Amino acid sequence: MSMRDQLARLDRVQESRLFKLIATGVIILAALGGMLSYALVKHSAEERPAPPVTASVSGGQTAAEAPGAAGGAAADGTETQAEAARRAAMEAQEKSALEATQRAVDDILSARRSLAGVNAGIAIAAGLAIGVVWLGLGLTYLGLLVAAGAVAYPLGAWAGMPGMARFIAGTVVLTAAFTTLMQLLRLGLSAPGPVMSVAKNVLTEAVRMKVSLVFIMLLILGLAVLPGTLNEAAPLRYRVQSFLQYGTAGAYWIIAILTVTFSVATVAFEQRDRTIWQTMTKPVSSWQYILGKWIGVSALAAALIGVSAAGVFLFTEYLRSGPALGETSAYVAEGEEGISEDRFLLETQVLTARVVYENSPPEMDMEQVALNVNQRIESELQVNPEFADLPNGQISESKRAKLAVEVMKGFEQTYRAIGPGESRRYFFDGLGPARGQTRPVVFRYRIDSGSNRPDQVFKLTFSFSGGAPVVRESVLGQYQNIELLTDVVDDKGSVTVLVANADVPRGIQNPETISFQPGSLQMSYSAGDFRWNFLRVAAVLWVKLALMAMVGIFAATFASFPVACLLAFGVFLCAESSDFLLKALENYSTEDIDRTVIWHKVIIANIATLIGNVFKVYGELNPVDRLVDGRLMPWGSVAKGLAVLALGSGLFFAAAGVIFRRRELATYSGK
Amino acid sequence: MVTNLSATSVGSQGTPVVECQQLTKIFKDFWMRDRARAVDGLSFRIERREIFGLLGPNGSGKSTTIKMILGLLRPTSGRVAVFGKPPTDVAMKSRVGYLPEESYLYPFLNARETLDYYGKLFHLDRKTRVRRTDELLDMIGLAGAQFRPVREYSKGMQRRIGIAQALINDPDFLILDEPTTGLDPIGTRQIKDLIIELGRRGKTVLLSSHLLADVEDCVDRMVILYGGKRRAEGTCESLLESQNATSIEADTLDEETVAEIDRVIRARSGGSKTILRVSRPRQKLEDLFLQIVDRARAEHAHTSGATSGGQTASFLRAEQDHGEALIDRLVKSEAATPVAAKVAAVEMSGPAAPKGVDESVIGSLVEGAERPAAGAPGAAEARPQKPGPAQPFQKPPEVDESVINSLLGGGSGASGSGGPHSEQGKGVSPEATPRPGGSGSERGSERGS
Repeated sequence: MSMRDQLARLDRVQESRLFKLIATGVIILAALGGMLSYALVKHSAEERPAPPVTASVSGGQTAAEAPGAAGGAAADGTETQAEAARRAAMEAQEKSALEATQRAVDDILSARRSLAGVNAGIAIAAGLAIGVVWLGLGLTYLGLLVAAGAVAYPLGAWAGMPGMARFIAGTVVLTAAFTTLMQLLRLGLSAPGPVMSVAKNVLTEAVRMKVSLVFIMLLILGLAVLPGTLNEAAPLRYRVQSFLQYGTAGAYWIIAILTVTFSVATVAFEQRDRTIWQTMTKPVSSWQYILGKWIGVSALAAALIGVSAAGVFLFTEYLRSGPALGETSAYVAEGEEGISEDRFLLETQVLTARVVYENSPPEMDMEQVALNVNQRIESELQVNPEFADLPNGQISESKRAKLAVEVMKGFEQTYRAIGPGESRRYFFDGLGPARGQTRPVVFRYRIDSGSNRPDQVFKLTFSFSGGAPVVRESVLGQYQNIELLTDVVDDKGSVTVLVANADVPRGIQNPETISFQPGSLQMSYSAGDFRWNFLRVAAVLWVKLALMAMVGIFAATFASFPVACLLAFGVFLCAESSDFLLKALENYSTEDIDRTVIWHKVIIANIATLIGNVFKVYGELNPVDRLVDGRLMPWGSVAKGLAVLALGSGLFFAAAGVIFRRRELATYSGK
Repeated sequence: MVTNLSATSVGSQGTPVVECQQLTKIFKDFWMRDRARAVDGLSFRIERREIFGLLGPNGSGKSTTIKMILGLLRPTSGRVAVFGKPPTDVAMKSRVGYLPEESYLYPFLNARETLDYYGKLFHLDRKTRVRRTDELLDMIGLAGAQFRPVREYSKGMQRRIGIAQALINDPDFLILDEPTTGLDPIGTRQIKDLIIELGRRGKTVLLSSHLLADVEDCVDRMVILYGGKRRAEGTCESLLESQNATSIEADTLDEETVAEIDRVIRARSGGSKTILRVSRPRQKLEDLFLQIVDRARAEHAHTSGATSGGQTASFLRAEQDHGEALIDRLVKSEAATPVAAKVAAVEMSGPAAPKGVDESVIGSLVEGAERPAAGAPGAAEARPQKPGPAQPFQKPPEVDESVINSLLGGGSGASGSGGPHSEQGKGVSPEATPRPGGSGSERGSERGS
């Protein structure tokens, strides 16, 4: 029997119902066996004695252990009673902090062996395997995986090329997952009717037309090669953050470019090549055609996002399961028990879902503002009588309003700035849910000073809710974190942070004024699981892509391919940059130094404001940044984004339907 | 000017399948100025169970009319209704099958997937789709290539898939725009048979074609367009029959019987009428078509489409002056040949063969598949488009030999008398009676004069 005959025979076997039933049974049994084995292993691990409380975080830098915590207690041998009492209080605070830190470590260790997470993983893998079997590809994929393993394993284990082994294994697994998902989607869209038929046709087109395939392969190869580019010597938290950043953002941009291009192409090329004549002379209405196209492109985007997200997630978990900096093995610190600082930061700041509160200046008293404006006018008139813009030395209301804005801006600048040796208090509200949690509260800040010289390091002193002072060396222009115990949150859910522009315990002040730009003072606490956060982020990314798919289709209903691409990409870039635009506009002046209005800057500012506001919700979602920073993507935000983007998609859909209905499909200007 | 040879229409019972009233389509440029008037005040009806032909030279508005019927273009003015509904009515489209002038297919699908896709658009259930797909693939002869992507198909194969997709919904109304383009003679024959069969089954067919012989074999009624306007409309018979003679079809008659009939005619008409020739006098559609187009051109009727070819490019003509002069002389010499002499080539023949089903035709078509003959689509298509001076030099079919023979014989031969020439005349099949060669000579003489 020839090879061809044997393959044909195997194909018949894997497509037989008996094989599918048996294989499904085997997969289910294997999955149950896996779940049971893991539960037993976990149970036996839990019966071992827990590590002692005192050695929790190796080299930890929580507030309690920070160098400044005890630094201020300069003991010169002549300790007064007050100083002794203060020292005792600080020691008690430190002990309490250690206990709280231990709770956080225990929480991290228990979450590591989460039964639910592992079971969910096994269930998803089993589901996919069953899907493959029922697609009639069980033996094909099994053979593919065995062949990939046969090549990758020796490379990784014996030839010293683990990166290449990971690349091969990753490529094969991602390709198999993608093709399986596509087959399942096509199966799901196989119902008769125009919408489903058009949608299924789009998926077939995406896979079989070379342009789409190039993007898809680029994505898969990119994701497979990315792990090999990570610096093995870097702390684990940075490696994970880099991978999350480049993996998620890179995949999103590649898929977005594909989605926009393909959504335009699938409609524009059908008009150019006139294949649309055949479809639209069948009982297919305009809205059915457009909806079908949109479902098809969105399904493709979903498959690609699903595969990318699964790839990123699984490799992140793989990285997480490896040793962090200062660990001999995962979750075991070198020479000590407990976990390393790198691990602690990874688990509490990166692979988590934190709720973030930003500090903002308090509301200004408008009477005070008016008073300040009057004072300003008086002083200006004394120096320059021509300052008045009305007869008899009067000032117009518009000029007063302008001055009021300047006064308020001046107030905000003063609020955000701290002179050398000075200090200022900042308040954070709404942190009530953080009280009693095992994970720490994180204070995140960034200071700017002068031209942010990279070689300059300022020493700042912090005190949280009246606690012991903490001195931190701070690099200009870079975000830094301080982990705080949840005890700093008072009963009202508030935290007060006193910031001194000096090393207070040592009495050394910094040379220049520092400032906190908007958004550079944050307080956050852990409010969810990384895995669910990742799922929500993937969902938001898909919703954004679905909107862009509709924009592309809309553009192609009335414009030729190049014009429609230009338009759709223009919208996409405007939407993606809207958040940046709105932030940049805060510092964008439309006047020169002599307060003369520069009209072209006014026009630019107005256009940017319009774009920023139109895509405000889209821009504010920022899913990738949230994921990389370990910030929570709340379901509320997801729902809000979903609603707004659905509304946007609906508007584009309606417009596309109306335009398409009015189009003369037998005329196309793009050829 | 419209030459309405026959305003009669086939039964106008119930709602017509297609009704066009003063249909006009003007294409505009970017500044909304009129660029081309593709269809100009066109009115016609297609009744149920009718095979309707839409004829005209390139750019005469045939495809534009079809696109308006299908809703792919909107009329600038006028009205079009299909099954009494506007062309944009989605439900109505489930009763329509359409084959465009080229088979615009998804290149990434194979034949089976293509038919399945279009079947789904009609909400056909899986079982029906599978059955119809199998039957259609068998019918068009692509069952063996059904899993190859359509982009690998030849043009003829793509055309066959195009035809199959137009039939997947078993349409009540089938629109075929140049259905035989790119098809080999066998495929062409099959399409003609299919159209006739569909007509027999009560389907309505709108056929647009340059291949006039195809149209003549299939259609019940037709409209001939030029410059977007209707130049003629009527049934095949009404358009093609000679108006100045009566044809009596009978079994083969001997000379005495014919002479007896002739005597009766003379007696009843007082000697003013007689038998002119014993045959079925029938103008060929191709002649009529060219006549209409030539007349329209002579009237300088406006058209947005192709007109008669201009002069050959100068760089091509430079070395051919001598040849052209020779051709001109020959053409003039052809023109001098008396028309009556050619008519004399017609001998008494038996009853005409049933149209469209003669096996000898199929035989010749099969041969034509191997080497393009005068009857091949390309050749037939080229004639009406470019009646240039080279035409008299075409390899004349055997018909021309009969013309030469009759000329050599010197007699009229109209009486159908015996003798060597009449014997030779009998040997010529009905299809081989002076059509292409004869008409070519006639056209040559017309141009010469």
